[in-house]
Amino acid sequence: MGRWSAALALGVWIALAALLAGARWLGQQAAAPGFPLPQADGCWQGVCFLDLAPDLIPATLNAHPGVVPGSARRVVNPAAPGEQRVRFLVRQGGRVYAVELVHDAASYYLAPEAPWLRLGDVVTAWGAPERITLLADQIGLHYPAQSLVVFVLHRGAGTATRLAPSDAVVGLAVLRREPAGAEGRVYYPPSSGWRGFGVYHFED
Amino acid sequence: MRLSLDLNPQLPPWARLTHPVLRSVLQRERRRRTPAGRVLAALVGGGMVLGMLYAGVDAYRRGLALGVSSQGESPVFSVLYLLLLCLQLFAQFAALLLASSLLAGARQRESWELVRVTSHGAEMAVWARWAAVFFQLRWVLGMLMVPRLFFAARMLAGVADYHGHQLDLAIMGITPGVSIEAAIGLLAALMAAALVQPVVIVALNAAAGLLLAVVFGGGRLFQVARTVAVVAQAGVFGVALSSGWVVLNGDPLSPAYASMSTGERWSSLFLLAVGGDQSLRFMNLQTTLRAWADVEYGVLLGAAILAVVLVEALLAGGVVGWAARRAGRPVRA
Repeated sequence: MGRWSAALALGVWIALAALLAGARWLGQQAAAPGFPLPQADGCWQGVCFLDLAPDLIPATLNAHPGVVPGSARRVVNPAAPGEQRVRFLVRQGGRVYAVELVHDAASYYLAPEAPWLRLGDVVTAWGAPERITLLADQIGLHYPAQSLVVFVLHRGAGTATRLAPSDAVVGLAVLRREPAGAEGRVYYPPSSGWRGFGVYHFED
Repeated sequence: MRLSLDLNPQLPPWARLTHPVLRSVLQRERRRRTPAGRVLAALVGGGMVLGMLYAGVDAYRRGLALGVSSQGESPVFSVLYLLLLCLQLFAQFAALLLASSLLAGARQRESWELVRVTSHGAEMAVWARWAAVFFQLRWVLGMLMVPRLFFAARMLAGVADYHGHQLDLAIMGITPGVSIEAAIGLLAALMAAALVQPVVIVALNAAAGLLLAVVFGGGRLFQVARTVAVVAQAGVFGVALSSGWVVLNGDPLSPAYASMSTGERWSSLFLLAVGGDQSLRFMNLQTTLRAWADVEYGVLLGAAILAVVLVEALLAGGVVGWAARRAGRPVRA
């Protein structure tokens, strides 16, 4: 009877391994969900915000097939009158995402008006970041090859935090690329190398 | 009944419902309880289950965690955890007490000598009483197994998350580094162990109960040994739960958590799984993946737990076999 139980346990193990591999494969066949990420060239859905004159951005977005027509409009922030902000709606995979774009000459920043992207989705698409930094109440994950920084909320105390795939992305920043030949990147502390998901104690 | 008949050819002769010894054990137990007693037991048992279910729902609504962490646990898991934990402990105690009572009672009857002088009679009686425990606890085992199967299905669905990269994300940066194939094998080992553990722990407890009855007979020493076994098991259960909960429910950012060594964390989780909730906590995918990330070598827990479960299964069979042979030995005058 003991051998019978042991054989049963081994059989269950093999069957579960096959089911897990099958579930993983099925998941990979599903269409990529969520908000579309910026491209490797720094543009987003073919729109290169860093090369556009600020006045042209709302009209360009309204003409874009992925954006809900007429949804892109400039927003004036009374606290920062010089800041360029555009709100628009993106239609993707049967869902509509409300987005706020903040842009200047050196970068643009996409922020969700409601959570639309998880950190695990970004890491699945872009791979591991080079470094992560603690910026007040946010954690920035840096992808220098794509000039991209992904922001999630700092859910810890002091310089300790925890990163999980389910963390909601609160913003995506695309920086203007450094001129060719520029070498070495400076990360201001507190920062840490990427060690996967889990607990981080930042070095000051 | 159909299931039992279909399973019958797979089982040893003494575990089949058609076997005369097993049938007589089950009939004797059925006769021992009056219909009114059975109804009362069902009402009390059902009331306790509903009460604990209500406590789980109420605690979840009020944001209280009963034995689980408030981070990353699903509502169904948070509600059912305490109920399943209590049922698990009940099944363990019931297996030990039922098996020992069945055999001790039989040995006190005058017919036992007749059974013993029959070829393999005593051995068959011990094995049949072991099987009888499973039949008597079949409803409790069903209540333990159905939620675990549901949780296993949820884990399978969870693996498909993140475009099928849930496990790839989980193994990033963990110690030791493992391939995705190894991660699948290790998660499957953990799930397999968790699915068979309730049955194996009942088998082991029933075997222990039979051993006590054979070794100590039915006198005062037997009662003391049985009480010690129950108290010891309750003690191990409590220690295992509390040590595992410190790791899983504690704040990983707190200094107290950081001061625990890798060995302490790992052994606490291992003890929780093999001596406490029988891997129930690990039937939540996020909890398991958090253990992989937070505890070095946590990814190997599944293999270690499955190895223990296999040893427990073989041990249970070995103990019953030894008890059966000992029961059949002639008594010295």
